[in-house]
Amino acid sequence: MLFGKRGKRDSFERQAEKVFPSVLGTALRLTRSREDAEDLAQEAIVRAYDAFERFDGANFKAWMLRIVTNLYINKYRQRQRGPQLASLDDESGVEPMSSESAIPDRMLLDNAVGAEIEEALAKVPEDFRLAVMLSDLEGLSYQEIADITAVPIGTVRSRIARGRSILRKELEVYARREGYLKNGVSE
Amino acid sequence: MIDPIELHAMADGELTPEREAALQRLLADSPDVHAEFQAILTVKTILRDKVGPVECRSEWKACVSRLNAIDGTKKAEALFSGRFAWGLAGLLFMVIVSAGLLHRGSDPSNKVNSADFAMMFGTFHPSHEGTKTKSAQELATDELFKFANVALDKNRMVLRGQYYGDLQGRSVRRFDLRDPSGDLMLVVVSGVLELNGMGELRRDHAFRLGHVGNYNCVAWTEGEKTLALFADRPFEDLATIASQLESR
Repeated sequence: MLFGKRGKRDSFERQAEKVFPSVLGTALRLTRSREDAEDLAQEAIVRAYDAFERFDGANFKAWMLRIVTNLYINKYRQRQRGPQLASLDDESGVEPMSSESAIPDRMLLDNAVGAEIEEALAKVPEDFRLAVMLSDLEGLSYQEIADITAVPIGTVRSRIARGRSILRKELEVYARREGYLKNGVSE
Repeated sequence: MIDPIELHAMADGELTPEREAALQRLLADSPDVHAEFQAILTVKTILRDKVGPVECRSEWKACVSRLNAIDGTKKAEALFSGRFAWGLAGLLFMVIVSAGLLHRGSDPSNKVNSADFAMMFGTFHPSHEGTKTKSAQELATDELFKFANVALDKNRMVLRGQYYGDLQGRSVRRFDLRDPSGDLMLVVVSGVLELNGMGELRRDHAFRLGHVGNYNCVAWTEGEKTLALFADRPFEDLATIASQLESR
């Protein structure tokens, strides 16, 4: 029995350590506060450890991110400020991302730094941001994102498309501010 | 017109092979759709390449410490509420019983609660109930003198009865006395006791004051005995009588 418990702890710790950067990163991008993110991530680890015997063994990272997301929704979301979902409709149309004012992709790729991308991402409303994060940063499938966020897979698709579209606009703002783009024409 | 959502799904590899093949054909035929698809891929690439993992070594250490604490707590809980619980409970019971037996076999404590004296009022057995004859009364008075190392002024104090008993393993004698002011009791216990809850007499620091039942009490030590005088009268009167007894 004691060996069993030790084995459980080792197995959990080994898997949790691997996904912890994703856990803390997701917490950080949801809360936008380092202190809250650390609390949220630690609480998620404790909850996951308590429930580890109920883990189905399929995808530990998706399971952990589900715990983080649920904890965030239940405990932290009401305290958050900033862009929220209220003014946006999941089912509203997604604008085309490319236009005559399109960002010079090569230039943006070369010059943008992580902090600026994070800043642009933080301006994306929360539900869209979460869907984009889980898809593009964590590499989860639409079905896994649907399970984590408890919404239909169609909603996940539209949230990801909408989230990327908003992020693209924020990146355009950044590109104009940095002088990579003037009146829709790249320099 | 292609639904942009489908282009995002294709960029994520979430379309069926048939639908993806259809969209690929459209991409080849339409520069606008192709540009849109490239824009989607650019955002994905930027996110993947520019947003790195967060630094989390210290936070992970904090988590491990928390898990260690949880494991420690669980082990302790398992010890006291699991399979060893009955054994520990039995061990504790044995310790309590052993301590009780050891305590019983050792010398009685010197600490006595003053309220314990209350039981001396009604549970003792008379040894010279109703000392009718003068010789018997004198005999009892002499015995009192010998036992308590005190003497009575026979003109003022009359011995009405003598009783014996036991207090926490100590021999106890009770003498029922009467003087012109009324009845009183003198209790003599072998050994020098601490009388918990008894105050100190201001006039003479050798005496202790207290209340036992409805009676006032003055207690003091005499050699290896502890004496206590009880009566329903002021402490000053009791202290005066106690002084007379003690002075002998």
